[in-house]
Amino acid sequence: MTAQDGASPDQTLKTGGSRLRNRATLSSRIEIVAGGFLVAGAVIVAIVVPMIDPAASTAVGAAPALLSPGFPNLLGTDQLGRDQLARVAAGYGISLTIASGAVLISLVIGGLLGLLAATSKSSIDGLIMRTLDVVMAFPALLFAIVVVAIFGSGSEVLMLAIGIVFVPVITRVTRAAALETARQSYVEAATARGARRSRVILRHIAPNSVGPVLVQASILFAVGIMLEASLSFVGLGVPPPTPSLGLMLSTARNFIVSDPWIAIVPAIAILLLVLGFTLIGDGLQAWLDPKKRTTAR
Amino acid sequence: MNDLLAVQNLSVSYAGALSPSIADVSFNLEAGEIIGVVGESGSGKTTLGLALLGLLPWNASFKGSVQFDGTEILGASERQLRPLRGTQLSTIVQNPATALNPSFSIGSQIVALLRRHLNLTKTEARSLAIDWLDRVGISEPKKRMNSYSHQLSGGMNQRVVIAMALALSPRLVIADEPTSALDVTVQAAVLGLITELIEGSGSSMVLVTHDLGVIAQMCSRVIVMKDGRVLEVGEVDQIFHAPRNPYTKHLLDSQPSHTSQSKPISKSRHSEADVATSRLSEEYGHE
Repeated sequence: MTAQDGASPDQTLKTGGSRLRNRATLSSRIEIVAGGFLVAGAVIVAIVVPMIDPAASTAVGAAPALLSPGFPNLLGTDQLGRDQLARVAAGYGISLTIASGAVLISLVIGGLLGLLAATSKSSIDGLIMRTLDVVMAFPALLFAIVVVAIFGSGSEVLMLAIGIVFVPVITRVTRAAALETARQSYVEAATARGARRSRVILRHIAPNSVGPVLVQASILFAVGIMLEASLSFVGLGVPPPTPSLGLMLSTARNFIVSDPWIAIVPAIAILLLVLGFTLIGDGLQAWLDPKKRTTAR
Repeated sequence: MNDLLAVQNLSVSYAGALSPSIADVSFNLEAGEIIGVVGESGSGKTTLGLALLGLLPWNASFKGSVQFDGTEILGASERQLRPLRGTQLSTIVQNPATALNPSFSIGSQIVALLRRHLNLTKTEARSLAIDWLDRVGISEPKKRMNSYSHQLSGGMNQRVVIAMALALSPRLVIADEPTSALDVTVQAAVLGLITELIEGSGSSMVLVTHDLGVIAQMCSRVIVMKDGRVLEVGEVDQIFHAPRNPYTKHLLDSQPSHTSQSKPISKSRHSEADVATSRLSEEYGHE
């Protein structure tokens, strides 16, 4: 009897704690799933819509100009009578390709630099980090504009420009995570048992440092899409007539008063995709961080 | 000179620290011997362990010499040390919770270690790994091969760590507080296992601990450290029964009843039955 009495408050405490944790985990899972839906939706639109009619995104005068959403042009048409849905789909394709390429570039270069910085002597660490501080000191958009001005516009150049802007961010996050992991005793023990430095870095430090880097990568996806839209808005993105979300928004400015739909469609398209990646990043962060997991949000 | 390990005038200090972490430490270790290093927190025990392994961090500066079987460890490059590591020189780390890589199953970690050093096929390494898990007392070793560190208890993790440290039959093992993170009953079992395996293979060990009970149980000689300096080196019996240094005496007095035959039990709250466990469990006080 007494033993039971003694145990019960402890149990309540425990279940109370885990319920709180479950709720927080649940909300972060909802974020990840919702974000995943938005991103998956965009990917499906980007793949499926051009398959129905590959020419629709650039077919001038295929339908009357400036139609409101309806049938058969579900999202209406632009000032040249091109189908807005087809243009959004093509724009999604461009955005996703450029953002993926940029994030991939930054993950490879930034990941390696971050691991190197975290596991090297302070002189090499300092050299890497101070050099990246210089890169980081440039405003991202300005830097991308300079790169595009030098190398000309095109999706590869955009990928590279945005990728380079992201490298210092990924490097910093990787370095911080790797420094934390390198303090664990299994890393020391592996060295003491004769593992090569490259092996210690790749097998012991890298796999246990990916969490924060993944979170950062998914946030950078969102930033990359915004940057691509901004660049094409000012005319430095992929050259027309290839549709891109920023360019659609830019040309829509002239018609925004009389035909607001033409601006609203690409704006919402950008918003949904950016929101999707931000939700995934936010959810992953809460899900991976045990401290945040215990507090309901 | 047929000492396995010879430490001479070893001093280590960390950048920015006011006083050296260890100063002017000298001792020798013969093959097959287990030597204890005892001292309070901050006495430089752990730094000594790292120096012996050639694992001092970059911000540490050092003087003196650490020779392992005639090879200088201190200041040696990675390339010079790698042939020694694992097969000649190994370590058992303190905290079993962080001693194993959480991203890989324990089986794959042991197999990778064995294959790296022993030139075995995958199946040979796997059966040797299972064999080792069995030897360190893990039940159902085949099943446990696929377990991850977080699925095992602290004691089981430490057994895996011991298996990995001893699987290559190193000649010298540096054990830094191998049992201080485990609870008392598990401590005794794990210590017994370490002694058995070390003695069985004829290896030597430097056992770093703050627990005199552990020293009394396992070591033949003991080094007493305080503030980075060696106060006393001697046979365990001599140190325990006739300590020369007042600090050693103080340490022994603060340790409850580890030498019950020579000293009356001063604290009556320890019953006879407690004595056995308190040998292992109690830390000495800090005043």
